Parts: sequence; C-alpha cells; structure tokens
Amino acid sequence: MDDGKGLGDLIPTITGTDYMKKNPNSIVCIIRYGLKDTITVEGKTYAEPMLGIPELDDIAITNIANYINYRWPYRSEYLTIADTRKILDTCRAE
Amino acid sequence: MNKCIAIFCVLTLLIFAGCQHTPSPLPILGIHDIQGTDTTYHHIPDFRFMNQDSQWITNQTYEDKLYIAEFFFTSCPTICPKVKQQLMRVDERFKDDDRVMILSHTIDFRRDSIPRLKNYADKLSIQAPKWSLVYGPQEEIYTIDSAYLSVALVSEDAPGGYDHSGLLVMVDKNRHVRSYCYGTEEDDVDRFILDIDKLLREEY
Repeated sequence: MDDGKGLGDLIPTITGTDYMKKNPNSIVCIIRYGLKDTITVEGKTYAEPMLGIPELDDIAITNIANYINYRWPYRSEYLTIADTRKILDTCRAE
Repeated sequence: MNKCIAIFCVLTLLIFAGCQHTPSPLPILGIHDIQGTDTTYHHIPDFRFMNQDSQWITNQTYEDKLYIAEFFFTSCPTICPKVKQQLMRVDERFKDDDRVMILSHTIDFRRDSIPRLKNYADKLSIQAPKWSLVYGPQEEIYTIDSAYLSVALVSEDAPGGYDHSGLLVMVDKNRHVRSYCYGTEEDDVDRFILDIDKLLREEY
C-alpha cells in the first residue's frame, strides 16, 4: 500500500504500470471525480468503483499527481496548477 | 545504613519478581457502572448482522473467541484500504488460531450490500466465518459502533460521505473491550498484535 502496490485484486498497483503510462493525466480526474469504469492494469481487470475526493483542491491534486509522476516516473516535467485545471476541464464534461 | 540498603534491595527484587510472575492483565475499557461494591463493566450488547456469505453473525459466533472489530465501507477512498492492509497482516498472523476472529462492519448502508461485501471479500481472499464483513441497518450500525467505543458518523463533509476512526477494537470472550489500535499505524498494530498474544496466553 505505502509502496504503491495496491491491495489484492481490489486496488491496482500504481507503480510503473502500462495504464498510467498510457493515461498520465487520468490520475488528476480520478482523484477529483473517482472512477466507475472497469480498467485493465498489467493484464488484470479492476471493476471496483472508487469515489472521488472533492475535498482535495486543485493545488492538492497537482501536488499528489506530481508526487506520483516523480516517484514512479511517468513524465519528466512537473504539472502546474494551470495544467491540472485544464485536465479537470476535460473530465468535468464527461 | 547497610540494613536500609539490604531492605531496599529485597524490595526491589520483590517488585521485579512480582512483575515477572503476575503480569498485569489488559484493562477492561469503557465507562463502567459502579453501584456500591458491584461493578458492571462496559460490554458489547446483543447484536445480529448478516455477513458476506448471507450467514447471521451474532454474539454466539464469538463465544469463547477473541475478536477484532472495525468499521469501513467498500468504496472508501481514504483510510480503509490502509486499515485493511494492516488487518490482513493481523489475519495472516492468526490464520491458524481459531480462537481469533475478525468482524468488519460496513457503515455505508446506502451503497453497500451483501453481494458487494461478497465481491470485496473475494477480491481480498477474505474467508468467513474467520473474517466476516457484515451489513446492517443504519441505527444498528451506529448503536454497535458506540459500544465498540469507536466513531462512525454520516458526514457530508467527509470523503465518501462517512466519517470514521479507523480503529481496530479487541473484544474478549466476556464481550469486554480490552485493547484497540489505530489501524492506519503499522507500529500501533504491531503493539496490538502483542496484546492479542498476551490475552490469548493469559485468559484462553
């Protein structure tokens, strides 16, 4: 859990996965709005819904996304708060 | 003077010997009702909840057992996964000891259901009745929660809509609360496991 490895077949790992590499911006939307879709991570499917955490503001989400991107390098440059807001605009419409 | 030192040494030895031979038992926690010389200890009242395998779980399920109670909900986005990870560690440690059982109450009476608890249990290889995930109506969950000296509240401000403590609560065969720990803190859970060992050693 603390090492980003998820929990059993319930919560997928976040460490260097194909899912995160393909969808580097998704974490921003998932933290704010949650996730209802079934996703496939490293060949395993996960269908458990995750609730969003609307209490986290844009700054907090930016910091968390940067931590994740830096810890298990998915991207080399830092997200700015403006980037986060742009990404959030795309998923709010969904 | 020498006499005083000798007496001091003897006393010190007695105290240490006392510590080794009669270790103090784990306290009985909660607010007790004291009437004259009679003390009625705080205890877990009668309950009946349904688990992930649609079996009724009651106080009788835990007769002569030591059980660990906690409160969670399956879609909890904050502390629950972390608490579950620690609880899985406790489960693993006592998997071959049938005196120890685990009781997880969902506090999400709106979204959770028996099939959802079943699915959640399967994904984490949680096996009933050793480890039951139970569902119950709102009033019953919140009544039993306060009996465990835990805190669960419907709160629109809390992530996911419910506020709860993440405590693991140890209950003995007499329905008394004997120990608890913060299920998010690995060190505290280590200490809690030692408490479980101690209670099993001294009272089972």
